[in-house]
Amino acid sequence: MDEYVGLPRNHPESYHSYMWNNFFKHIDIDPKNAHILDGNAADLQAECDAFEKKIKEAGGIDLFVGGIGPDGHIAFNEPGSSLVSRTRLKTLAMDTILANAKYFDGDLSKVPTMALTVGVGTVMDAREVMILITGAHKAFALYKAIEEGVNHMWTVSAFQQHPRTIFVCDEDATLELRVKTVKYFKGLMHVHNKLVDPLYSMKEGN
Amino acid sequence: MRGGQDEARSPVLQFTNCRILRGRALLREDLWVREGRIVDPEKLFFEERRVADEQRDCGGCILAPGFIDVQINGGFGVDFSQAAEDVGSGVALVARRILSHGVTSFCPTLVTSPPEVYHKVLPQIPVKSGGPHGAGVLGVHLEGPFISREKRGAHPEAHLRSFEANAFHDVLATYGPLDNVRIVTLAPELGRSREVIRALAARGICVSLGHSVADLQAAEEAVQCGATFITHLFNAMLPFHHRDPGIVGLLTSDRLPPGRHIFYGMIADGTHTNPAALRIAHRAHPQGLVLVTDAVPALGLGNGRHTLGQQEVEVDGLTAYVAGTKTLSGSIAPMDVCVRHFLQATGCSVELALEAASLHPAQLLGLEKRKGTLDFGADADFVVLDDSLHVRATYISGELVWQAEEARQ
Repeated sequence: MDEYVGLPRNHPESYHSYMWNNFFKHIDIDPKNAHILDGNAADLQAECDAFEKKIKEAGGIDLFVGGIGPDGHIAFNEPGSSLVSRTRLKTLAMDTILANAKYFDGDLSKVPTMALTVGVGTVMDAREVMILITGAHKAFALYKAIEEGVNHMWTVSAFQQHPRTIFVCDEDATLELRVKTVKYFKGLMHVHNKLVDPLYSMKEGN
Repeated sequence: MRGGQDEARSPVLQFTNCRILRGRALLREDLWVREGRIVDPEKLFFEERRVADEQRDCGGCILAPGFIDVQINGGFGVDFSQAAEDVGSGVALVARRILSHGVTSFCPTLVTSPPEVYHKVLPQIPVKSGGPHGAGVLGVHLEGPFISREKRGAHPEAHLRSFEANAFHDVLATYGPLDNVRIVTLAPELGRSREVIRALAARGICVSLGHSVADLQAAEEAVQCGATFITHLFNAMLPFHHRDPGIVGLLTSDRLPPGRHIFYGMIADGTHTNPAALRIAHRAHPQGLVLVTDAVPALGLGNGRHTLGQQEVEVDGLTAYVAGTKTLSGSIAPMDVCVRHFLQATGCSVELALEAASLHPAQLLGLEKRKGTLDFGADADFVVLDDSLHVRATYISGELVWQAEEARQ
């Protein structure tokens, strides 16, 4: 969904490296089916436009899987991004740069300051969206994303207007939510299980 | 650099289900090979959009860089120091047989011999790449004749020499042309050794200190002149003394040229070095330790009498003596046995034991970009080992050159 600008593709902190080491090398995907933005392209805007085109040519995104930042960003759509934005070049927020410094030997001068990223609008076009949110440090962003209104300062809140989005969270990520909200969603699982079980026992009875 | 077109057509081989030694650690990674070299699969994926043409399951084994033996005097009845008519076929026989020990590159070693032998034998042992025919020859190791009389060990006294008269010219007169020479072992206390060491080092020849009664100062000066190796540490040199550590003191010397450390050969066959001594050396300077076999022609043969240089040798079980004496005459433990014994005696990590037989000798010879490593771009010379470090298969340039019986289907 994104890649740093100006970072060599084989740098251990590039998203190409991340995807290779954590996903691609473990599966048998055809390399031709893997598309990652090139942060070293000669014409960055053309690279972004081409990416949008490739998505369209592939028939659109069926499933978008992502996480969020502590500032509620989705991909690198930092606070203040347009909620109808497309794939483009973004300057990274100071918070993001500071958070990334630990991956660059703590040297701020080594941290990339720009990235190519899919837009909020690009992700909203996906047929299904799954966002994974874990840890107490993401709790406030999760609160802003689902219990407050849609706001471009917390870009992941845009998915309140998506027809088919699921947020998968752990206990710690819910720490800033109302108890009532957490109970509601936990309760849903309980009701779901009650609906499913009788079906199975009916089947086995036959 | 080859053209992109040629590379695109060459088959890519992927070794899976293995642990590879890379970056000083055993990683759960696949090894990718193309055109005899190790390639970067991430680069293949993103730039060439390429998958492997063939996958080989390594059954959970360890893949280590092929072992490099920088001191081996012969084996299987072959004696490199004998002025045979067909030295080449003897070298080839040893090169082929040591593949089963996991050795993919080696330095045939000649002990102290008369000049006629050097002049006849050296031209017949050219540097040669390894392959299905056998391990690669990196160059010859000349151990002697410029060594100490007192510490000659099994070397024949009659053929010892000095270079006091004409320094490097004496060296050339003795050996003949040095084209095929990779390592020279000498005693630095001999007169004019500094000139000789400098001249040899300037030609890219590795100078090793051994069979010597040098004190630490003489040894340090030799290193400052360009010596980089110690031949079989502890053997054939003065014992460590707390007021003059001798050559052994180089392991912890603070008078070495900046950024450089000394490498030292160790025969970890269970006989030549007491395990406690092995541990002292290893703990003092683990990164410089180079496992060598110092194997004699009796390697791979049974008990009995055999020839080494100009002398007779008696083999008894795992030990070889100068016939009629109690002087050790080289080892007959294969390299993989040495690796296992070293691991067990020192309790070091598997990674370090493997590096002592591969990375360290490659570093000694300045070959660490191509040999002794499984980094991208290196030659695909590697050995497949089970968890107890027994050799299951040996590969050179990505080609299977030896396989254990049980592994064959």
